[in-house]
Amino acid sequence: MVDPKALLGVWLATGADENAAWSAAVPGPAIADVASRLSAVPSPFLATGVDVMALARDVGVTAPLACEPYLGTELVARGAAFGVWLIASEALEVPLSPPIAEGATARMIDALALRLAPASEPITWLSDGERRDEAARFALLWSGYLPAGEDAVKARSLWAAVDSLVRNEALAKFNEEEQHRRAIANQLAAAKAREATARYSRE
Amino acid sequence: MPPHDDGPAYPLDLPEYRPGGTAVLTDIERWPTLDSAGLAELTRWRDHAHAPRWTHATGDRMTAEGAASAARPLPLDGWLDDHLAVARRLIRYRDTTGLDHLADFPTICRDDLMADVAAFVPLDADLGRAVHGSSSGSTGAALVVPDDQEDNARTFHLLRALVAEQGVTWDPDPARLALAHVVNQRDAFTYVSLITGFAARPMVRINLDHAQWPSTPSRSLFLADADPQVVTGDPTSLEALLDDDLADAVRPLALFSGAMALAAPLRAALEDRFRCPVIDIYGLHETRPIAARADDGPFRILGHRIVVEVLGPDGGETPQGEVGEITVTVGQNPLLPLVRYRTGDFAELVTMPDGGLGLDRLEGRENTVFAAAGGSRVPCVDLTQHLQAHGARGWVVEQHEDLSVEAHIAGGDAEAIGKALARLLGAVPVTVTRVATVAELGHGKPRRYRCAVKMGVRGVA
Repeated sequence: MVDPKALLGVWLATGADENAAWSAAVPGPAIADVASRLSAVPSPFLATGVDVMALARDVGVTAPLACEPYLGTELVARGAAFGVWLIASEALEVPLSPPIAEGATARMIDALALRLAPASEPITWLSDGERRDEAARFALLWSGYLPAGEDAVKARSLWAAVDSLVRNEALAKFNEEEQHRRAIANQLAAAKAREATARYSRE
Repeated sequence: MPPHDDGPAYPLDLPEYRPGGTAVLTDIERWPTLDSAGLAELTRWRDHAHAPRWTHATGDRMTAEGAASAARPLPLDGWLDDHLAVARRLIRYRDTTGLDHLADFPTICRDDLMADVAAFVPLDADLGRAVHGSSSGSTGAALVVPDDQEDNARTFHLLRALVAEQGVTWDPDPARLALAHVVNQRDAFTYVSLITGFAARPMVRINLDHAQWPSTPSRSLFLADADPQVVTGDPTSLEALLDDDLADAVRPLALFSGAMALAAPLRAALEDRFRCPVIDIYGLHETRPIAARADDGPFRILGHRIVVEVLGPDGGETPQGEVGEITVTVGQNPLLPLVRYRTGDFAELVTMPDGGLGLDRLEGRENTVFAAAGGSRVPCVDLTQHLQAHGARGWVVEQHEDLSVEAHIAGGDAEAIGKALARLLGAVPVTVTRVATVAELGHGKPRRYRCAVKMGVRGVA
């Protein structure tokens, strides 16, 4: 069993920037439509040993997936499978509006597999309405969308209300610390490229 | 604003800065209060007929509000309690209980910052204030830390206060450069800047290395015209000011030395030549200035947000009269609130005549101990006294495993020093090589003392 912190660390290492994602998100499908789509996931997608990568290729996801090395862990595979199903469902049923397949599909799959699944067991997305709502919000944000009818402020507030990471104290703390480390590293790198300030004496 | 659009009133960035390199801001971004008078000063010194090859451009980033804030010392009332409260919330400490008082905090060192500097930066830090800071160590590996723009600007006012303590008034003078920061090394950032909080008077950072100047007389002609009120540098660059062509080019109100120890003979030579206070500042980049002295006595610990301890190897305070490791708690940089940071430098904590605290017998990096022929231990401070007494301005003294000693000295009486070392260390082979300048001892901060002899507590193992 892979440590949830390790999975979260892999997600953070992709450089995914939550603030940037919120800033760039554009109006997308309705939450209810995405949640409904999630609840209709065919059981073969969630079967033990399902070849998630093959499914992803079948639906046209060709970009590398950060979660691929960890698909042997069931919760990672199921989280990813939900993401692949959302894309596949648009070919099998009515496309979401706008289509989720036109968003950042690889990033969305990794978000469900590596960021959400360690904090929220994917199988509960079927049975628990609040968990399903959370998964739908994740899928939309990391595809590049805001839920229809919500602006970024409202959407972010509703997200925060259901975010499983907040409830998991250890993971939340780890997430906060790793985000901070990355912010510092990025800031120092940017500062180095940007000029320091004048120095008046030797130290 | 696009990166290279200064607007219709200002010129473009100078083309000779390294393309794609480190000078990337506009002048307005460097000095937000820049006006036509400031621009005229920049242009005058950037384009000066005898100017060196400028390799950089950088400002203080100070708005009028920021410059006013930087001109005021940070208040001291209750600062330590607030500082420790901030520290307890750092990633480094937030899982540790029992950190009620300063003494409860563990000591930290450079390796801790290098391993995880973010763990020492507040989670709610305003990173918009951060600029890149780099501290070189004796091993050569650089420590990267977030410097604070306002804290950097406040350093200028610290220098001004130290000059005032010597009874010298340093006010903006429209006819003179405010400050010349001089280095003497192979490569260096050199630039013209303005000090926003000092009537936007210009300053320069220049490299006295002859190769940086368009002609032989250029550096003296430039400095004579610039007429800097204060010159700052390190022993290597300040020694170069004593060169024949420069000694008459500057008439500073004060000199500042940093980065490495200023030997007494060099101080005396500078005081004799320039007839002004020579202020030696001790501090590391990450700690900011810790202490200063204007004579050869103890360094006076500065009166800002700092607590200095001197600790033994067991982490406890050293007994009175003994040398220990300088360990500081500093609240000047809000982006790096250090608590009990071991500097790697050693000194004795003393009480000054006026009751203030000072650091005496300051030695850097290691409190190196040498082995005498009989196997006894000779602390390097004993060697320092003799080296200085015989006029050495700088030195590197190395003892090999076979107890033989090689000393390289800059200036000074080589024969007298050889005899002094032989008396101190007994019948061990001693060779003394004399070079003319501190610069010839090596670039960067040459380690002054090295000893390869393995010793136990009581002497040679």
